Amino acid sequence: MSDMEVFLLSWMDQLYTYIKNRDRNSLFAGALIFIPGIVFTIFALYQTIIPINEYITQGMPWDHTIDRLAIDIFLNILLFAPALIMFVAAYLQAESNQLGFKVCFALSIGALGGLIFNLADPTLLIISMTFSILATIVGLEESKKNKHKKYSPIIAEKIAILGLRLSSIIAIAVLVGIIAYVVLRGAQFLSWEFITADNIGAKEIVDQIVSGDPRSIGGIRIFIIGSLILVGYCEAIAIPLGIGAAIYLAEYAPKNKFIDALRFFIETLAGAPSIVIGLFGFAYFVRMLGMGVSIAAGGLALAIMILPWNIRTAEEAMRAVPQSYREASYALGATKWQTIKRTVLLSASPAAITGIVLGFGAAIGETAVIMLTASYKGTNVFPDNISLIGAMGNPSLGGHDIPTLQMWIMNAYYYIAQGTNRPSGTINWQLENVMFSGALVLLIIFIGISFVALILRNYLAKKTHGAR
Amino acid sequence: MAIFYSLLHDGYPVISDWLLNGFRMKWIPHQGIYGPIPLVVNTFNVGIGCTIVATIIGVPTAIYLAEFADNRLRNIIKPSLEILTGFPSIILGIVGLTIIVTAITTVAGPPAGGGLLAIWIVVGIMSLPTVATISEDAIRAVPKDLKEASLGLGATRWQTMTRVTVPVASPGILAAILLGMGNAIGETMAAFYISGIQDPSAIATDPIRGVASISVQIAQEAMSETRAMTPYFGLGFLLFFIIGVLNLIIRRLSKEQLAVDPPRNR
Repeated sequence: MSDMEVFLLSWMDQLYTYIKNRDRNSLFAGALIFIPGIVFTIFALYQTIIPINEYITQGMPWDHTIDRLAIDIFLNILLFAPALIMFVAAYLQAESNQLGFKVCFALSIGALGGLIFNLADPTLLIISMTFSILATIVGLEESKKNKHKKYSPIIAEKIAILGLRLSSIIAIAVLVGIIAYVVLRGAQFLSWEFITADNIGAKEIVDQIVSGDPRSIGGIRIFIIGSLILVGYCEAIAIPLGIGAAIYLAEYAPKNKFIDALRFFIETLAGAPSIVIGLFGFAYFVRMLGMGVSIAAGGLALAIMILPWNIRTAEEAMRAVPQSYREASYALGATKWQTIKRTVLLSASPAAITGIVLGFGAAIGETAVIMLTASYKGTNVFPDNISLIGAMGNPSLGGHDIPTLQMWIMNAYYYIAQGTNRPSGTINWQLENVMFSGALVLLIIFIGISFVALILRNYLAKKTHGAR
Repeated sequence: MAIFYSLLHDGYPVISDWLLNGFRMKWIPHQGIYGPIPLVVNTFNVGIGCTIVATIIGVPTAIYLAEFADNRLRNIIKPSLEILTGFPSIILGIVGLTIIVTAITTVAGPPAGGGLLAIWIVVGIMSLPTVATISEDAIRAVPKDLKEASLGLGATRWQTMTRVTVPVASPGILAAILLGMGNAIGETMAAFYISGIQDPSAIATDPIRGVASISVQIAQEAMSETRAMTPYFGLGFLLFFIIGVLNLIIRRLSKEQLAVDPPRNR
């Protein structure tokens, strides 16, 4: 046993007796806990600098190092979360000048220091976890002890709001962080050529990078076009059908069991996992109708996925139109259809169009459906005789496997994973960047579509307000 | 209905096996052994863990957005969350692979990696926007009169929140959580990358080793060369059935919340 461990163990022992006996107002006890906490933090900080130094001297890319650090800190925060929550709980219940609170505070600081600064060393990790657990126990004890104590509801509210704000910040930060991560890693390989040039399959790109010739490559334009065409095909079916069904459900449908059941099916369909829709597309369009793996099968299956979404948003938008608008239109002598066409659809359009465009965004990112119905071999050329109705039972037309961005990413991963036992970490790092640049393109399309939806909503809302 | 029928039709050999022999414990499709129990248990493991992650972060966010955030902030965050409900899951999959799975492998040594833990985190993050936006809607749908009555009695906003608003909105919030669970159960592409090395006949017990769930099994067969999909139609049917039951519960719950707020003539 090293000196450090002996020291830590005896210290833990004293800490335990302290917690048992509750020696109040003892300055010694406070120091006993607080000072080692700080020392420990400094020690942990020191431990962190060594690996960073090693990364640099070994000539690892700097962003790779940052990446590793980011991973460490992210995991640490996850592990630290319970201690933090208990700390807040103890704070809620205990008076801040009580010793128990101080103990909890010191322990939390110790746990935080240990966890943030070192994870790679298992001994340190275990000690930090112990800190975290002890903080939790002390916090629980304190809150139990002071249950009768009345604390001000206003302070409670302030703390609660702080906690709520914290969790919203975590939620937003995680989501923004993911996007930022994709952008950072994707941008390292992304170039104009990569987007606009033609014909580079995932396999070729991986081979080229492994052979050390990464820049003389084509791009993924054809995959982008393939994805867009597929979504276009899907929306061409889903938009008219969706709006038609929504008009029927919102304006004409009687209230009875059948319509109720229909609604339930639409809801179930909306909640159906995309892989199930994909399986259905494979069973029905690809096999039973004999379309083969083709743009038609993929588009139709995607349309089925998007349809309930379109119906729901359009119907909700139409229901939100005030009854008085319809009555005003009737009073002017309009028929029901005229009323729907000129009044209801017009005032429902901002919300409905936004919903539909958002559905567009969801469709472009969908992979499970496409994998089963439109594009699984990862081809990088369009078929010669592309047909909008698929093979339709005509085997001479064969399958029309089309290139799509999503499957490009899937295949890139596949070929990278095949060679994970390559000698150097840097090559895999580069290969992953290639995969991420594909993902970045997909992300840009997705966010672009979503922004179009938001801008359209604001614009149309203004316009229809003006018309009123 | 057509989906239901076609999955039933194409998965018939498997489903009839279930009906004749009962659910067995091993899933070895090329030997004709179609026991879905481990897969179903794993799928629920995945679903419940993800739901916990999404709830812990998502519901407080919803409460904050609905009641305490100022309008300007809300007008930015709410639409972004709505957009993120449709976030391409394949991107989350590769991000989870490169950050979280790598981290787990670094910490716990090479055989560890993708598995329940990674899926809980990544897919939990994925269903977070769904849980947050829908429970936010539920909280905002609580009638103003109730809140005002409570505030008028001198309660703080936080007391009003915990004792009036959240209890009234709880069916809606629960529905949001279940919806998030449905998303998590059916999630394929995000989980595909981070499931680790899978054994479809084993109930996963170690959160940092591989886990085989229904959706990922289907996707793996779809990616393979042979594409022997027949047994997997049965699995798809099972998945659809689970989601259908969840949806029935959600429907009941949202009706319950509506019942609190009877339509008024205004």
